[in-house]
Amino acid sequence: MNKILFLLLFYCSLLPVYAIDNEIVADINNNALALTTQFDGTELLIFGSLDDGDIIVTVRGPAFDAIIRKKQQKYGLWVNHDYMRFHNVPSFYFMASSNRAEEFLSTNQRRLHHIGMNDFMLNIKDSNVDNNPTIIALFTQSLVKKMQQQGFYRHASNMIIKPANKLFRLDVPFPANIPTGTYITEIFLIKNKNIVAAQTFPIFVERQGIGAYIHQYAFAYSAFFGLIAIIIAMLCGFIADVIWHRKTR
Amino acid sequence: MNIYLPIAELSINIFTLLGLGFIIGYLSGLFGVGGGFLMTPMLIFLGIPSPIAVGSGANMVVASSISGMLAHWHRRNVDFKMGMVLLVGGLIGSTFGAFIFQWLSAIGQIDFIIRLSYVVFLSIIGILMFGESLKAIFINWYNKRHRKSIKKKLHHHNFLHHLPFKMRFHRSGLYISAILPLLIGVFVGILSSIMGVGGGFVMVPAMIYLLGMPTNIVVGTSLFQILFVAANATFFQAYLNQTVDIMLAFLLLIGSVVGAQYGTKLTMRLKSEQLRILLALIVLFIAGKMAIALFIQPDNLFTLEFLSNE
Repeated sequence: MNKILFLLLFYCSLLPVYAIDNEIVADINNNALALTTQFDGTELLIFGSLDDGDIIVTVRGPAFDAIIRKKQQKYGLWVNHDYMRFHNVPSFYFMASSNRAEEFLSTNQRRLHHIGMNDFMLNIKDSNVDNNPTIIALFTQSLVKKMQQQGFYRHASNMIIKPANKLFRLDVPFPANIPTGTYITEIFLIKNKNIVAAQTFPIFVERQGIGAYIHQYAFAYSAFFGLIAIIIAMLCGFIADVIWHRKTR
Repeated sequence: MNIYLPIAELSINIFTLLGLGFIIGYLSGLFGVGGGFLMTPMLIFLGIPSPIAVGSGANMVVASSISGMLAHWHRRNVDFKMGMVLLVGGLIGSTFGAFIFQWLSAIGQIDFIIRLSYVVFLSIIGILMFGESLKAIFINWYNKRHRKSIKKKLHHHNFLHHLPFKMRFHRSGLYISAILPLLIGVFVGILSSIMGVGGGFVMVPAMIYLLGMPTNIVVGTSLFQILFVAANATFFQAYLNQTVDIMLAFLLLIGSVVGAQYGTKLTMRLKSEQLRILLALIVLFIAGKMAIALFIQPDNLFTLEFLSNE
């Protein structure tokens, strides 16, 4: 009897106790978005449960190169002049947190896990202005502001976690003209000012339907696309002439 | 009911586009203009990126010009030989223009050049039209008052007519240098690619005043040239710059082709000088609005442009 008890205790000691303390489970209601002709923006629902602590949720869209151009007045006219070209700019960014958990992380941690729009590590590809920190900050901030205006970058703090059963849910809004590609969702569990657990899953955004064909043909088979555009236009004009002038022939 | 435009990459009300197409088509049928130079600024005002407005506008002009050209062809009001010379120039010009467009896009100045071109040309055309229709109204009034007619000369030769490569243009009754229509064609072609217009608003006065063609043949012949030049501009905009949104162009041209047919019916009823003054005022208003926008400090000095990863 004592032997069995001893073996039981021994096996229990081998169980990964910390996993039970730091567990977060999350899911999304739909991990594929189809951009059809009727698509006018949508919301996805991320939900889950945790046992203790705060959470940070980020959704990052595919990254591209981007140019910010600054206008300047020349002879009275406002013309583009200064510019800065960046690498790896996310085309979509959403962040939500409970109790402003991101403020308790170090800057390095935020940068490493792409948490927060203020800590985007944007690499500069080239520019025609001085690359000093003030100017870089100016251009970076204007990029973030522009994306916020168009609804591509969003930040929601104070996500509610229901205290009784530690459930959370949040709506992630997507505007109508989001880019296609693979979006990465990351959910971080924060305890004692540290990231202790994480979960990640993708969201696939693709064009579908006639809009998809049009976009694909326009870029992949451009010459053919141009010819088709002309032929359709000519046919419509021709048909209109036939319909309206049939009487006068 | 909103529709998502795949190349312009934005969502817009389908009836706004159909209605806009109809109005522009109606005005083009009424005044005998291509409509491209009214359509492209309207698309820009609606929020369509200006390169896409230009590319799709050129596409739409193909439809409206074929419709109008056929109507004039039925009445034998097209000088095909002159049209071919203009056309050769136009093809050279519009191809060259598409490459200029591509270069301007790469250096980030295309939006500015499109707007500036519109301000310049719409102002010139608006002022000329306004002056010309005032003069026409005055002549009518004078003739009625004094029961006389101020006759205009049939056509006068200037030095440009005597340049080399003279050809006979029978339908127009002209024996002039072919270099002149060729150059006019090139210039109009460049405008066509950069502004998304047919170019009729430059060609028609050029044909009347510089070439000295009879007015009844001018419109049909210019439409013949515009048709092919706009088609060429559309092709190169699609092939080089991928700025033709076929969904946008299709919705606009349905409305415009229908509107044009109704507009031509109304031409019979109203006095042409009154129409021309009205159009001149519309054009000047658009020019003014676009000009002001160039001089006012924009709300946001920064523009953002995403590129594909290369």
